[in-house]
Parts: sequence; C-alpha cells; structure tokens
Amino acid sequence: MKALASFLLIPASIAVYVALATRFAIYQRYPVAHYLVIACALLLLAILLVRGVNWWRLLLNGGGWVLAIFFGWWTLAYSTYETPAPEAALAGVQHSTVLELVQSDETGSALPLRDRFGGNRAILLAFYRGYW
Amino acid sequence: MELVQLQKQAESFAESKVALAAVSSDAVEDLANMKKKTGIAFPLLRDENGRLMKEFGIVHDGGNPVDGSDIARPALILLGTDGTVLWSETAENYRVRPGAAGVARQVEQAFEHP
Repeated sequence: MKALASFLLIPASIAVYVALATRFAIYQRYPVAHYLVIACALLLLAILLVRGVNWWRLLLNGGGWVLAIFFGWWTLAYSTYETPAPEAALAGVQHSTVLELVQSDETGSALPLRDRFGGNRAILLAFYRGYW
Repeated sequence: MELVQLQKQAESFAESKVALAAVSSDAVEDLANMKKKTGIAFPLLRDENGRLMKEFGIVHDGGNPVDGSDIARPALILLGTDGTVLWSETAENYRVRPGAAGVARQVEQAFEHP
C-alpha cells in the first residue's frame, strides 16, 4: 500500500504541473517542486524495495523511473525549441507586407491585418499553438 | 491560458490605444468554439497557410501534436501601423509561454522608450 501511494505521487505531481500550466497559465521553465516530489517518491519506493523485494514493488519502482525519466526529458529537452527567438520578430524590424495579409476571424470575416487596428496606434498579436 | 490573461488587461490596452488579436492555425470553427468557451472579446485570427508566422519566423515545423502540421511558436508581437515591430517576446520553450501578466505595462514602456 505504501509503495502504491509513493508511486502515485509521481503521476499526481506531473498532473498538477500540467493543470497549473493549462488551467492557470502558471508556466514553470524548471518545475523544481515537481522534481523534488518525484525524487522523494522514487526514494520511498527504493527504500521499500530494499526492505522487502517482491514483483509488485519492482514493477512500481520501474514504472516510477519510467515516468520520472519521461517528465525530465519532456521538461528539460523535448519542449525546448532548437532555435533561439527569431530576429525577424525583434523590435525595430519592419514588416510592411504583413499589413496586407488577410486573415479570417472566428466569425469567418476576412480582413487585411491593416483593418484590425481599429484606429489604434498599434496591435498586439498573440500567437498561440492552437486549441485542441 | 495566456489569452485569458490578456483579456483581463484589455482595459489597459484600450487606454494605451493598442488593439488585440490572437493568431493561430486553427480552423474558423475551432476559433468560434474557443471564443465561446473562453469569453475572449478580441478577435481570434486564422493564419491562412501560416503566412504571418512565416513572416515573423515563428513557425514550429510539425509542432501540432495531433496531426503534425506547422503551428506558431508562442509569441507576443506589438506591431505599429507601419508594420514595424515595436516590442516582442517569443517563447524559447513551448511549455513556457510569453508571460501575459504585466504585458500592458511592457507595451506602454515600448511606446515611452522605443
């Protein structure tokens, strides 16, 4: 029972991390607290295994390590873009042609970007990955 | 999500005379669904063929985890009426989005110190 509870700490920690990002827009470049919880869970699993080896504990230890390695790989390596922030998006660069590009909005209305300013002195474009 | 945080600062953007728009590769129906679910008031734009994101160099090749299509790298770009980028923030890691909190203040500073 203790081994199962220790193991469940790992997916729970990952789930909390995902929920914080997707539901509350709390983004953590290095989710240290989650790493610590996972490390503690792995330590507990290892201690329990040393106290008494059985297939159930071996399985939970293995599963815990798989989840921990996946979370570490995802947060530290996979999710980082291979290229730095592009220079084309830096302040001072002019993109006059984009003003003529036409985009449809959620109503299907298609307008060139120039017409989205609505009399304002600038427009803040928030690029996002999409909604799925 | 970060767009909802931007919406919360809509009044500040209006005072700064800055329009807001969100851009993605999503289909128009998906944009409509998202608008309904989130209550975001500013327009959600479909970047046809990724022309906008290509222009700014923020394409994430094959970044859509569902179908492997190209999507935008999360970014905030403040564009002047002549097409000049006045301020920007681009994600280095897709898990860490440009912080929407405090953006209104940074945008105002971009006008004060171009």
